[in-house]
Amino acid sequence: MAAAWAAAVLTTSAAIAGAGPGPQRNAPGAAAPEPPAEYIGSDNCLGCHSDKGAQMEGTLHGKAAVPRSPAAGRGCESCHGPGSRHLSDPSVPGSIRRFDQVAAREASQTCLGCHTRSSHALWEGSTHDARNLSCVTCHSVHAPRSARAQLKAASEPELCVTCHRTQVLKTRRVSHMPVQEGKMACSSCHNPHGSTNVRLLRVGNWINESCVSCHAEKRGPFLFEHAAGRESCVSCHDPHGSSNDRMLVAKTPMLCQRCHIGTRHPSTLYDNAAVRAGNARIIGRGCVNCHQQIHGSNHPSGQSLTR
Amino acid sequence: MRGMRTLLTALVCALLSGPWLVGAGAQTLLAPRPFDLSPALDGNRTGEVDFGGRVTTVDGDRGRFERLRDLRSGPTLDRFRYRREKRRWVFGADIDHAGYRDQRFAATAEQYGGLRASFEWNQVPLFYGDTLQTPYRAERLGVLRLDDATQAAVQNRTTTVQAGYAGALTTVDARSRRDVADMRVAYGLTKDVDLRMSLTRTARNGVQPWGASFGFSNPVQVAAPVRNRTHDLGTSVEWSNPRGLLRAAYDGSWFDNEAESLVWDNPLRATDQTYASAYSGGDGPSQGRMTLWPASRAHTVSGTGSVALPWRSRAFANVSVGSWLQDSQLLPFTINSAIAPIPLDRASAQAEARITAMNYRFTSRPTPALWFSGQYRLYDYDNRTPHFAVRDYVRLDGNVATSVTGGSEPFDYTRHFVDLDASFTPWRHAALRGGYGQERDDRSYRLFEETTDRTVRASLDTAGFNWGMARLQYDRSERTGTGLDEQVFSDIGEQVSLRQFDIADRTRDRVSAVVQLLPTAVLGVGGTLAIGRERRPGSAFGLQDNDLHAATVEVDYTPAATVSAGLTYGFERYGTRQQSRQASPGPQFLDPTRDWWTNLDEDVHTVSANLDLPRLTARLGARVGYDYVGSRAAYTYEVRPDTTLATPEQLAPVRNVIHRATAEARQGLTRDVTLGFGYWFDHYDVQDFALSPGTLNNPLMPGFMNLLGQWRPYKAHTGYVRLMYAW
Repeated sequence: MAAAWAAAVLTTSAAIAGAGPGPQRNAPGAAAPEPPAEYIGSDNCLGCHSDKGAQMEGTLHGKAAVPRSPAAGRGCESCHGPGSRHLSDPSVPGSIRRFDQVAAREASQTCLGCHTRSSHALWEGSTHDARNLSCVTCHSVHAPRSARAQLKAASEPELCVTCHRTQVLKTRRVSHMPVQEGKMACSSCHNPHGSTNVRLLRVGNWINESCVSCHAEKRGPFLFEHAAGRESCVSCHDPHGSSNDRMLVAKTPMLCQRCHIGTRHPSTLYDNAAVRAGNARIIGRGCVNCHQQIHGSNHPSGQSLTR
Repeated sequence: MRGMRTLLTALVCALLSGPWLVGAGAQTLLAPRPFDLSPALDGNRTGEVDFGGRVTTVDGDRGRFERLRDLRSGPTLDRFRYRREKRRWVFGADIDHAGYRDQRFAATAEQYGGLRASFEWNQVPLFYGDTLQTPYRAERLGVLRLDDATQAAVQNRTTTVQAGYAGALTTVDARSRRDVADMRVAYGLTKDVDLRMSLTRTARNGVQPWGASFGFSNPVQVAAPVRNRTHDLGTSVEWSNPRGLLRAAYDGSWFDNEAESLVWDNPLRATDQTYASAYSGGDGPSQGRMTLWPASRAHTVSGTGSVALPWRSRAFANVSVGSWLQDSQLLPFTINSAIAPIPLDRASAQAEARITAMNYRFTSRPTPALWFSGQYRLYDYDNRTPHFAVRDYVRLDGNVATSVTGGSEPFDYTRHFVDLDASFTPWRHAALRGGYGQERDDRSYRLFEETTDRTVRASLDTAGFNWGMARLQYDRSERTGTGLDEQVFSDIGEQVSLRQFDIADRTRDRVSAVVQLLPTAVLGVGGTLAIGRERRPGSAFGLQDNDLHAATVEVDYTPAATVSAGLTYGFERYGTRQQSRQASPGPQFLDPTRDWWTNLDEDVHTVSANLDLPRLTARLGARVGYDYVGSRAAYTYEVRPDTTLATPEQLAPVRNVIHRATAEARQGLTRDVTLGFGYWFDHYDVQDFALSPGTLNNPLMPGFMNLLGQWRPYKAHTGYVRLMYAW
């Protein structure tokens, strides 16, 4: 049964492969194989697509002085493939590689022919690759709307919000990272092209390494540590924003009481009577009024994170 | 006419080139910023300058209005761009918000195929408020003093804290600023080899609210100094071509703090003594001392390689080895002269963590329709800090206590991740994916020595349709722990059936969906849905349930190039449930009638609406927008029917409401000059039981000397006039 399923999958996928761009496969009994398409030069392309040429000139793709650019190679055909068949009859489906008509990974494969290095090196197998996104899902070679990175939107958050709306909405809460203010963008923390970290985080190999790349003071190691914080900053903080002070996921002392309930003050129910009494364990910054060194203490008397 | 054609071409291209409609509705999700005057530009310009004036009036909490920005009244140079390009090189310079606390300067030069260098100076302000008050004065960096005579008078009970320090209160300009200087150089040694180097210096200066307690009846909040520097260096050499990649890199980070300790006076005492319990009045020492952030170093070397293999496959490997070091001199156990010195186990922290990370990945696409990915990751945080033995320590500089843990617990952990994914693309615009992931964590000094989190997931993703796109994912994960050590909790007096929520046994189900539709060329409709449910069936105490429901809908309508409108509505609901038991040591500790629960229910509504009229006339454009964020969080207490606790008096819900309305216009005066003018209205309303003025109503509250760091409403009006000249 499994073998039959595998055969069916392979057969289907082979059929799909035939339907895609590139060399056309010939049905049994067909006439002699069509000769492979040949490169014809960009001037031929621009004869019909002059607007695309003008758009490209303003981008790195269109600069022949950039050794790795398409313009330094085969021009339009660097990405769209050899154009002789398209020139002969543009109406023939598949006569040229069109990125809105190929499967996502097929489109990405073309881009990855050049964008192999630096921040793009981990695209294959990344979360976005796994979710069937392609380079042209977010980038536009011919009609970019952003000042950099040739995005399809004017800015990163405007692009990322399409799928990550809940996260972007959080950046508008009263406690937030300076994304609204233009001091950070999604890519300040995330590399959408893939990373060695979780959640496509740009820096490091674990969440905390990403956070302390800016909040270096909290890196430590400290003599006394808050174990939960050392494991993961996002156990207590929502990095996209929240309605609580310091982007906490809940208010103190309730947040702290998710783990600290032993006896005496950690176990106490702080209700409105405590608020009216001005009890410093719930008003102001709650637990942190005293346990200020919540991220870790370097003081020999700091085991309760108060010094 | 040419501009119109370009706009239409861009619009058509955007519609044809993919399913992503990122239209006006999405734009309104961003913080309002000055109306872009750039449409007056064309591609042949080499520069532009945008200058004018701004008037801002704020009624209320200016610190929250300008939390991360500077919108003071005055002349503005909001934007300067210069770009000079020749055949083989390009130079660019940017200025934003010149002269203000959030100013930015940047310059980039690139020789195509050769050297690329950039420099950026970027200031990020953090404004807590200009109405905070304190009786402390800074004697020198890190030393905060009160009036000695008042301290003595309070100690001798000839005055009170409220009467004694009221006259000494001064306003604190509570803000800090992060100044980031970033320099980057990349050089293309050959077509396949790049050298890169970056050096970033981040300086933070200012003050921040800081808890500095002497005891339960005497917590103090001060404006602690912030004066630190971080230098980050990154270097790498990378060889790459379509067949493979090799990269070696070194990253270093040096954090230095000019204020590594804080000394502050006790408002209740002028001379040292000891007291018996931390629950007493906090009137033991005459001053307190704590550490602030210690200097630290981090070094990481890494190697990366990938190679293309047959069957459209690629193997990738990354190994990095790092060391985090911190060896600051340790302070004595206390500054209280009435307590006999306690010998330190060692003189400096000698803290070190070795971090080893590995990442191996293999992907393959044997046919265009089949895709596989397998990944293994290791993250080992090996804390090599020697145990710091503590038998007796000094609690809050007031009294000697015996450590229940015997000193430090150099916590460390190791994470192993395995991820397997397979995707099948039955037709070219859609992919079905199934996957399995497992994360196994080993750790020390926590309840579970090991946890394993297994996740199965499935998704359907479409892409490439001109009518839109749809994405759907479901995943379920189960985390289980082994090596349960309840003694860890027993030793420190915690309920042994407490389960720390981040490592507790837990099931999680999550569904997310994204739909974008383009029923016509002028209309875009979209929506997202996210549902998440977490259950911790084994947690008798602690966080038990954690739920999320979120949905958004959006409509973008662009009937013509001269008009576009967008509307977005988002709703989020968060719900958690946690259990506790109010107890003193003894019989109460085991008494279930003292159990209580907290239910958090938070609803958030978000609305964004905009109308863009970029071509009201040939030279006049306008935009109006409105944004709303309203959240309501209710913390509701529950007790058992047979409770022996007093009936809880429920807390008032926490409300945060943000309104913002904008109206902006631009008028082209000449081909090179555009006039812009606009008005922004901002309104923030907040009711917070812990932070509202009704609660924090005095910096000298009985038993809590605070900075009056309230969360207060504000109304702000901002108007601007700008001229943009392009050349």
